[in-house]
Amino acid sequence: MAGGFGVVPMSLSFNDQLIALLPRLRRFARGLTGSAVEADDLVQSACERAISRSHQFQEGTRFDSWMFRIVQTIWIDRLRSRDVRKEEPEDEAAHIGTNAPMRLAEARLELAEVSAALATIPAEQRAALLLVTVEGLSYKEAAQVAKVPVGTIMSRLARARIALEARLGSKAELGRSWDNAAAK
Amino acid sequence: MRQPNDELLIAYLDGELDGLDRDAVTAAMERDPALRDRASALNESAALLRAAFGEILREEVPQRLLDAAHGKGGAKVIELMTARARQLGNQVRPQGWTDRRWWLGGAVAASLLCLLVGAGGGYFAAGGPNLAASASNNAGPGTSWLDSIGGYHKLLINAGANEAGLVDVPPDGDQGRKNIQKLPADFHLPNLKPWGLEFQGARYLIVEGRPATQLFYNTDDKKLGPITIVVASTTKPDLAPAFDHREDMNFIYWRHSGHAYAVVGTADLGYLWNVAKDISFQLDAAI
Repeated sequence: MAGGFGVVPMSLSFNDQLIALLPRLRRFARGLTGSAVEADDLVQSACERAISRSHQFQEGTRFDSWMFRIVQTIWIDRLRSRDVRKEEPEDEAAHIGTNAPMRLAEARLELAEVSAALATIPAEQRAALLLVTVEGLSYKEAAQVAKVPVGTIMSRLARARIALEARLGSKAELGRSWDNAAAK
Repeated sequence: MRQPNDELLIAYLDGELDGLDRDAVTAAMERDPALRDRASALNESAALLRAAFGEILREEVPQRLLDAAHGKGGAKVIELMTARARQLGNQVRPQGWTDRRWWLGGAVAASLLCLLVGAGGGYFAAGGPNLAASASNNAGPGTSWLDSIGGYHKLLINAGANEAGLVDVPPDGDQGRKNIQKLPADFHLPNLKPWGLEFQGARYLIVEGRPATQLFYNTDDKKLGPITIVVASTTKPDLAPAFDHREDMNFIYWRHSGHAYAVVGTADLGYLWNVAKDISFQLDAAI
């Protein structure tokens, strides 16, 4: 499971399970919305809804999948009810005279680039991509979260992966060049 | 089997194929270098995605989300924290902060009193409220320094960034960009857009006879902003972050490598803590 936050032990209370899952919920929501603030709003709403409907969670099933479904449902509802303003990509020019270590600077740049690439992918494909590639769900589990057939997840994911690769391909290629140069 | 398309190749890479399909893709890759390159490219872009979003897992979870997961409102928690801070003499850390460095006790608060705004200057020396003077004259623990920082914060918030003569560095247009470049050479403007905060302007201050900058950020969400950030030069040793709450304002402050930092706002501490961490990240001011 990605990130080391796998299936939460069922011995934990409902609230403890929710707290343990918060980092992944924030990551999933950040990928969906492209905005830190909007993502946390989304997670907060999801927590409130989950607690109010905790009786609907079926013991023995995956708690993370159940929560991802709630997050995605709220997000889709919001998309349908209003135009979500997409956050502008970070203004690189604002980083004036930075003396931050290169690794940290690159990490921020990487997230900004990947987020910008994600924002161009249609919402449902983006969700499939995040569930499978980032959160480590199987196609079947992702299909249950999205309430669609496995084949639909498969095609959505493929389109998303192809689009992502097309947009990030040059960066990956650059990384390979660095690796090759370093190996020589 | 024909050459696998991208959909099948991706399912193969994700471990979603079994039996004959999996064997067929394996065989196709063995005989086709172009397919192997395609698989490699798809794997690398996926790895980039995972790596980029992996950082989010290491972020501090905002208090309001912890409250929501507990099924309670954020306001109550802040009130409890404030009461506890007062009871313990402002030496408490926010719930969820696990680093022992946060527990620095009274010595921290006392040492911070003379950190900033000692000599007064900038706008205040030119006719604003004499907060700087009260700061330098009042050495009681936990009083004047933070009160002064809070006073600076309130003055700027109440006046707004558009107040003529108050903001030295406007945020917009080419002129604003040129002015931003006049900031100290070892300093750059933190980009806080991911937190919904837009830069509104900056002011120059003299703090303990040394240069300092006060930054003003705002957001449409009144629960979160506005906030001000003070970055000052200092000769004091490094100091781990500490927190305080006065009137309706929360404070997070620390020192690192010759600079003192303070983040002030009415937002909850979880949000300010994340902002402070991002600032420390961007300014290489580790906390």
